[in-house]
Amino acid sequence: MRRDFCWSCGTMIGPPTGGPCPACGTGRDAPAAPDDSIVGVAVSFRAGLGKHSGIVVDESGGDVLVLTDRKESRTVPLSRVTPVGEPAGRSGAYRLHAAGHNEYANSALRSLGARRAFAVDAIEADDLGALQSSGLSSTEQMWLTMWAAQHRGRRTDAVAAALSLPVGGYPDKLVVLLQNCGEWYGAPAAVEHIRNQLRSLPRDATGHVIEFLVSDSPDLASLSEAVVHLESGATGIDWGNADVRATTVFGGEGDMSALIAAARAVDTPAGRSLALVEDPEGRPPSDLTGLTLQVLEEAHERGSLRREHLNSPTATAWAEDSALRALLGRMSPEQRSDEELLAAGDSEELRRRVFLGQIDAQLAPSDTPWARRYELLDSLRSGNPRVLGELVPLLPERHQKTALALGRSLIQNTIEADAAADRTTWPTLRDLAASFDGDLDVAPEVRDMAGWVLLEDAIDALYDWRWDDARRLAQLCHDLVDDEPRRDEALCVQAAVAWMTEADHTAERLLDLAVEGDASASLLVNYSLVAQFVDPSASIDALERLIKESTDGPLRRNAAIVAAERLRELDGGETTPPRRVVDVLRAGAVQETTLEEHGRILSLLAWADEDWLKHARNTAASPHAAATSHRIAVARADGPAALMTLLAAELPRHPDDPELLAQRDWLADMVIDVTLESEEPAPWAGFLGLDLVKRGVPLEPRQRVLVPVLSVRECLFHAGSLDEIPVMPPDMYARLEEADEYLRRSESEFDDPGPFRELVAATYELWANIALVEWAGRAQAIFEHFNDLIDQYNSILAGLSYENELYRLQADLRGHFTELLPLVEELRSDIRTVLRRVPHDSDAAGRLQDLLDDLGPLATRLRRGDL
Amino acid sequence: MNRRIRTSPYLVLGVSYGASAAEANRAFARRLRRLDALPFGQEDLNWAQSLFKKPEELRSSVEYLRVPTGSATPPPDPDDGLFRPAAELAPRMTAPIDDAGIDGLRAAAARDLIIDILSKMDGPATGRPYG
Repeated sequence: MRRDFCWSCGTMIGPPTGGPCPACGTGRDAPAAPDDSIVGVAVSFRAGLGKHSGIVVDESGGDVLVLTDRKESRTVPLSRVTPVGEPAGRSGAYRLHAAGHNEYANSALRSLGARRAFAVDAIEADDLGALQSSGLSSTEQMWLTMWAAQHRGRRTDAVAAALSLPVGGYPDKLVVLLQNCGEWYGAPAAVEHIRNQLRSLPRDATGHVIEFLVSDSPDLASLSEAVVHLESGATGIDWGNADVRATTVFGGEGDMSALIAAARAVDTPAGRSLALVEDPEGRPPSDLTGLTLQVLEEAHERGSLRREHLNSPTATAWAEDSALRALLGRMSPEQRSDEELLAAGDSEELRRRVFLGQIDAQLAPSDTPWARRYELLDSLRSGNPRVLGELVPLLPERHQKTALALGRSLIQNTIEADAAADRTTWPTLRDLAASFDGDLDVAPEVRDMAGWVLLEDAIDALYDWRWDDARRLAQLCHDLVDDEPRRDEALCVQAAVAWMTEADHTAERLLDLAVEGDASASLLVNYSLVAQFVDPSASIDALERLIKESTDGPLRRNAAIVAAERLRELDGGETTPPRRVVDVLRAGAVQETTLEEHGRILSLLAWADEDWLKHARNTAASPHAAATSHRIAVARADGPAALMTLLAAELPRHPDDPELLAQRDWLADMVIDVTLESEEPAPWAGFLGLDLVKRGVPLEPRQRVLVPVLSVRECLFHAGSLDEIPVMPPDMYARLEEADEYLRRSESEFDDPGPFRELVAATYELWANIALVEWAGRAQAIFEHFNDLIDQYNSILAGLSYENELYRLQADLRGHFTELLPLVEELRSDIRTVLRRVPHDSDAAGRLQDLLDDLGPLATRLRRGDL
Repeated sequence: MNRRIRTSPYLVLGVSYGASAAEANRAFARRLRRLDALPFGQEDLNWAQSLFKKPEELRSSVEYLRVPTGSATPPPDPDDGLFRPAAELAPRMTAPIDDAGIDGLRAAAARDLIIDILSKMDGPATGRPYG
């Protein structure tokens, strides 16, 4: 332990022995040695009859002053007290303090040695609070605290106490600071404080080592010196117990690999820096934060830190590190944001982006080489080759050849291959290429470039509706290039010109050439479009090929629709579409389409695939399955009956639905038109009309009369044309009467009901005339049967011998009359029914009345049984 | 009146097949400004523009002339060219590290090792106050 400083104030005072400290006047007294004093010791003694116990608080002569447990002070001869237990320390004062008798302890601290002995006891007992009662200086108390913490392994407390000691004093604090360097290393304030301490203290081994630790720029000499001191033990630290790495790292002079390996293991910024710079073959540390920009740049230059390392996912977390951010910006300038560049001021990258039009900014003139370079490049790009002399030296070497070739091209009006090889020069060379004269003996690079430029110019001309230019440029392109895609495109441009100028055959021929071999979907679309008027079948074939070759669902569906529509138009629907087209239409019927497109598909399926469409389940998955148009299409495919059922069900609920009304009108008008205009009997129209009425399809007033009446009339025409009168539908006459009744009831609904009334009357008359034939036949049969009965009666009557046989015969005959009478009455009823409807002055009415007149007496006779 | 106008909205607007609605709108505005010089009227322009409001439907239609057809795709712009220079690596911002600097790195790394060793040493230093 050093004794060359004042324990009280820390001032260096030279040799360990001598007078009081010249600075503070405090003596160099060592802690008082343990004595045989009994002060502070617990004792027992007898007084009178009782036994007492207490603590000795003072000793004088042969007596001791005992403070009893009952808080009584009693002076007792020393010989009569007996110590109880072990003393709590070597200092009587501390023993009193520990026992809680500070007022007595203070009086026991009469000497400096006693006070220091008190402090030693306090430290031993780890009772640092007691130091305040020691009467020692505050600095000595702090010094004692430092050592107390150090011995107890409380590194943080030890360092805190060491750093609190006066600058330039207490040199032994250095060994505490050294051994606990991990506590303060990296804390700038602490480091600075320690540097101040070092400046005021004599430089011993420990000081040298600490000086090395706090150095801003440690060097190998300082390192070696520090290691020597550490290994010598002169620092007060038992280095012999240190980790074996110490020998590895410091023992091998120049053994960089061992140091790098150890540094990687410790993984501090300094270690990572060394590993990164000195170990290019090694993996870069996973954490690059905290490294200096110089180290990062050096590592990058040595190849141990590459761009991909900085672009790793981990690197995104490094954005806050200024050095890394700076390096990233330098290594990957294109990754810096526009805002960042603009904020940072003029830079090559900023000029580059402005040159490329990526940043819209007006930059101030600058003398930097890159500013000048981009200024001159801009001029060259505009077609000015005079800047080359100044520009070329400023360009990267890889661009110099291109620039020179471009300059020569511009000066000589001919495109050099080296210039054309760089696609970025094409806009500058465009005018030269556009004036290409068709000379095919050019370098491949020039041919390629000119081909593209001509094609783009041709398309531009097409967009400007400059047909002649478009055609000429496309032709030049077609002749110049030898790849099919560009030749096809050039043909397409020419075909577009032909199409727009209504040279359809030319357009078809050009596109026919283009679709030979490989053809894009767009080429096929174009061919199909232009061929529809020249070669409709080929137009449809092109769409079928498109369906076959394309995988684009909507495109195939559209192609199928158009192909089918064109085919239906081509021959009036005689030829149905190929299976492939129908299959696409079927698929399209259940796909997500517009309702209009869906309607087109169903319309085509109704024509081309009716049997499939009529089953509602086939299209039930369509998103439009519930739509009226969809249901109508399916019903129509299933036949008129299905359509009428749909109309009868839906029209009452949706009386204004235009689609339903259109279908209703289509059916009703068809019946009306056919029955009115057909020159041949069309009984199907009559039966259709009667069905329409019978199923209860709501009809408008005009239809409610015309449809049933004309339908009845058509059926009557049909019946009249037959050799044998057919059995009429039983409710046919009822339909006629219903129409008649409706007309009578609703005449106000008609602007002019006259023609309707006439039609009804005529139909009744027609019915009468047709029916008369049948009724007359029936009447004749009845009369013949009646006459036969009478004749039989008379002949039998002549041969009768007994009266009772006559009665029996008459009875039989009257029985036959009874059977015959209903037939006559039914016939008369039918005739009367019709007679009421036909005009009274008509021929039919007269004939009906005649027949009735004939039947009347017969009925009377039959009813009376008149023989 | 060109009867073929309504067969190619692309030629009416002057945009390529596959153009977006935004491109069509810009082309519409351009065409509108020079309508007098065009062989068609605003009604045709309106018609063409309206088709681009449903670009997917237009793209899959087979009833309009497509220009260009996309058969030939121009080569992409190069990453580096005379008039499209790649970003240049900026010059180094710090001085190279010389031998002395490397020694410094070594010493600094060794210092960290010393601190690491000392921080892990067991037990306090020897020595007591007052000797």
